Amino acid sequence: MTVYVLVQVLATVVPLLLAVAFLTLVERRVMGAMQRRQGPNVWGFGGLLQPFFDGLKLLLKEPILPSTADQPLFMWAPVLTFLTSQAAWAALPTSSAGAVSDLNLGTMYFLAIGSLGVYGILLAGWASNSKYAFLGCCRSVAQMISYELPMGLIVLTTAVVANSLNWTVLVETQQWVWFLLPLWPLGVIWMICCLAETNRAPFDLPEAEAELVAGYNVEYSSMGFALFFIAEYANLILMSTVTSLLFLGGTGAPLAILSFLPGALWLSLKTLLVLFMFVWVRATLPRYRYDQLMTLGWTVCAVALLFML
Amino acid sequence: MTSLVLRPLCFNSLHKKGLLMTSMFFLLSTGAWMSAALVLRSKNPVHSVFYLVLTFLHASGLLVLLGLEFFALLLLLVYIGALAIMFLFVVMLLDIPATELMAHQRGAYPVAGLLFVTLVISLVGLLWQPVETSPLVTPLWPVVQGGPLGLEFPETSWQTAAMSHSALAQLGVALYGVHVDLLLLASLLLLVAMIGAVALTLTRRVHAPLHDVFAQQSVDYQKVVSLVQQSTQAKTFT
Repeated sequence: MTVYVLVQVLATVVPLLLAVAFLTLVERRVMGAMQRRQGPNVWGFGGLLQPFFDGLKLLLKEPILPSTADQPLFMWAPVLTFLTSQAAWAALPTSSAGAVSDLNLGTMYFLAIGSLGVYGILLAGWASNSKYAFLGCCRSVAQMISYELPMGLIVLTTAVVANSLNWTVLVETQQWVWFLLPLWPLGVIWMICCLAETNRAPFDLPEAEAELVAGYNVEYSSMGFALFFIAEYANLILMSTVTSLLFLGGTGAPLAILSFLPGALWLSLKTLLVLFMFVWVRATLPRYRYDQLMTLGWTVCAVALLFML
Repeated sequence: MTSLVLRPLCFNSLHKKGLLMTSMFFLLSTGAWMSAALVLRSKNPVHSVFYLVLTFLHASGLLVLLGLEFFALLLLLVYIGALAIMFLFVVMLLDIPATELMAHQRGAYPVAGLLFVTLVISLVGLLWQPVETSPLVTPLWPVVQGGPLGLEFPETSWQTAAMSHSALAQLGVALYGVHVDLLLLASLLLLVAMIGAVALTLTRRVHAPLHDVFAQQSVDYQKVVSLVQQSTQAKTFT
């Protein structure tokens, strides 16, 4: 039994990490294509080896511990961020066979783990003992907790429609019609929330190269930075998967004739579609101003969702 | 025959599970106590808040052990996800010197003592579990089965309800059916507190510029920007 669970966990985490590696490549290549340039294409076929060389570079760099930093917290912050970015996957039904642990309160579990993920960033920004890192972490955390509220409301609405908090039931309810069609306003707000929650453009204010250098992870180098980076992209994939589970019918096939193909394939195709949307948005839209971001979150999204609910 | 074979197996697995649960309980409660002690011991207020978060985490683990997953997740979402982060923000941004903390603590000892006595009394009071006729369980407004609200169980059968329904369903019926009056009162109280907080902090500077983003975006550029014919005289100056 324990071995079985271990195999299941590994079968979830290893493809996830590989997907993170290739997502960085996809992002650079797609953005390159959108901006009429090549992107990394030298190592491997079409640049396939590039993410692994990037990882190797980060691994071999010298880890720097700032002397003024709060050492234990500084060390733990990337680990915490990485772990929380992986933990949420346990409840998601990533294939037709179901999830690693098919919780009845799966959607709430996802939200709770999301709120735990904030702590890694908070720790990193505070423990670095640097003004830039701290301001970046304040922005990041304020943004994430503000947008958790509309996210929770959206999940709640879909749960009310499906009459369950279980991911598998949510997916089964969408057998005939995807939630995107009847609930499309929710879908639009959900995409905005996802962008804000993952700190992506146009809401990548925590990064703000011009004013804040790079946000909460300025002081990190080598593996610490790599863990933050992996966690960020794993969160991106997590959000895309959750989007396809909530609004795009999850593992179900779009047409009943096509249901001979495995559910995992459909889910990954939908996730890829949403991920492409994320990259597209990043290449297209300019950055928001911070107060506009907060106004959007609290006065537009939250109020509209409360009325809809 | 099968029962003869199965019974010892079942017993064995149950026993193992009990052992695991007991050890988990001791682990989690020790962790909770230790992190609670560290909240008080640590010099740095930010560390204190982080230990407080650890205490909450252990408490939610204990709730999972009790089979109350919903409450555990609620604790994670509300206390760790929102409340503790607010604490952390305040503590981080205020940068309180240790001497000031000490000065404030001295005045707080009587209040803390009073709270401690209350805690001890209520813990002792827990030894007497609420009975079916106590005001904790019976509602102000008696509920009839099959009444207008269509409630599933009457007020007296909490014991059977606890056995047959999930914690979430019971909470729903208790909160929105049986104790709906108290729920409304509590939500009114929270609303008043929220409006009060907003009214206290919302001050508008008189000369603050007001941006209307929509108006700014929808300006017709042809009316605002006009091509100025540069005279030859002006060119010579530049």
